[in-house]
Amino acid sequence: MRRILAIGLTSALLALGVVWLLFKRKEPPMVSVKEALLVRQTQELGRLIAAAEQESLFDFGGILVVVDQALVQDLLRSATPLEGDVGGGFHVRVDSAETSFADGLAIVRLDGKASVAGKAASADVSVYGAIDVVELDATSGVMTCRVSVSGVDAAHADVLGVDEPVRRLTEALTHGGLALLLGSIEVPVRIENRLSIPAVEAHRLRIESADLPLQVAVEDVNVLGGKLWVRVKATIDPRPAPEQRRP
Amino acid sequence: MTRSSRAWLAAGLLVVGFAGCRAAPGPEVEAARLASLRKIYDDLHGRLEKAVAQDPLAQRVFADRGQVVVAIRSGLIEELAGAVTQRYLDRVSINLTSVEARDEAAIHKDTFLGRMKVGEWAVDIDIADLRISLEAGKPKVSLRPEDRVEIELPVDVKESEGRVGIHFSWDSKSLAKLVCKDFDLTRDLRGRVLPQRHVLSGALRIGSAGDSFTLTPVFPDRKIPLKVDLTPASWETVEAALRTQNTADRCGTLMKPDNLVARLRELAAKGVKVGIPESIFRVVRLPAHLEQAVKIGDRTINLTVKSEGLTVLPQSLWTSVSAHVREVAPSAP
Repeated sequence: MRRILAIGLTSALLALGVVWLLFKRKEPPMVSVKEALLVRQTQELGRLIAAAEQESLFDFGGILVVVDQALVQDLLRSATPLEGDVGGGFHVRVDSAETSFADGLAIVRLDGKASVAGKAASADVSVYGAIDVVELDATSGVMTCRVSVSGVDAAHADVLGVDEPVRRLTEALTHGGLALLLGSIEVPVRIENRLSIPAVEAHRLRIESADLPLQVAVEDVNVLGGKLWVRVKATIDPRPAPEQRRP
Repeated sequence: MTRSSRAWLAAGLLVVGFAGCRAAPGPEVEAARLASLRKIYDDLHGRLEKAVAQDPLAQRVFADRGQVVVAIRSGLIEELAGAVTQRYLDRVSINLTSVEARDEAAIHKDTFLGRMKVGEWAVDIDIADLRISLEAGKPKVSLRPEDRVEIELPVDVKESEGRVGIHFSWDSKSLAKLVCKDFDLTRDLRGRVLPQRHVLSGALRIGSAGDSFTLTPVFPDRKIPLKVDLTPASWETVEAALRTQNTADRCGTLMKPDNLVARLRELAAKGVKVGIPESIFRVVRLPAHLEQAVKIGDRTINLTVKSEGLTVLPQSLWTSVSAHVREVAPSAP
């Protein structure tokens, strides 16, 4: 009887272990934000050096826009405080921002407080992000930057709950939370996809306005020396303009 | 508990224990990993700094105090300038109504009193209704130091026909006045513009107009010698009209109608100077602009953005921009 009991208990434990192994969340090992950023910077540095050695790092064919980290920092700071629900039951308020554009990464650090919705207690948090996407708005041509979350540091995170609150907050910010809070960052440069030639109404002639269509797109982005280097490809579109605009 | 059941229990506990374990390295392992990573990073950083220090464009950017630098490659500017200039004069129709031309000359004769001016003739051509159609060819374009893109634009003028008024006058002088009468002749004729090609030379001046970069046309010499002709029927009309004056009392003999017709043909072949209207050359903004306001989230941030001037380098057009936050517009409710 005892033998049967022992075998049953052993089998149950084995099954439990196997089920846990199969279905437990695939979580990456805990790595500090500092280390994660250093790993990414090291990877980016390798890419930049390879480009520099091929003399293609600063080579550009169309338009080059270089944006200083101080301007992006000023813009972010002037937009603070930024406050809102970021998902996962968390509420975040950003009070200050810092930027550091170096060695392949355009790091944006947002400092503020996080709390669980409905609770007064809050934890000091630092959200580390990186500008990963630079694009031209399809309609206006304004250059915009999107920030993705690299990690979150929190002091006294226990006020945000048990069961790895920092990881849950990071996930919430990664999965749309930061976009809700910050949106995209516009840079004061616009590159239009057409060149407009105005109309003429004169005594001897009348010419309608015309658009010369252009193909423009962000080709490449590099980060170094405190600046964001955006290469924009711009060529005359071989297709004719869809319509000539009336004056 | 038997040996085998104990073994099973131990294996089960091992699996559960293993499954429950986290990959949590100790602080020493993490510190060592970070130190090794930092060493690789420092080495790569040094190599990048060395490469950047050798690049003239990078050095120029780092020496610039502007918050935003915009550089446009000279090839792109030339391509845009060429396309714009071509559009100015491509498939453009110009009305030449009221364009006038004049030719005149004095006629001298040897007399027993010596060489004397016997009269003056003049011909005035007035275009009553004639349009010309232009078609631009492929321009030659080159970016020059300072601020200009030099252009040489071939322009084809298409053949066209229209109404031309022609007025002859004869004014007898000195002794001829005693025997010859002055006369005026006006005829409505059909004139035609011959197919021809001209090359317009000028430039597009690159400038900065607050928040944008502009190409301003500079074509000081916009006059083209437009080769015109009369239709064969109209030439016959002219000759016939002049012959009506080829009588003793009208002094047509002095004027010699055949000579005058030949002179008119020369004049037509030489061309009538027609000015391309200045308004055809329009100021165009390059596609890169500076914005006076940006959005972050739902906030609008108004800026003071100022271009610090333009520099035309051998390879690119370069501008540096200073931008400062002026005010933050309140969020939308």
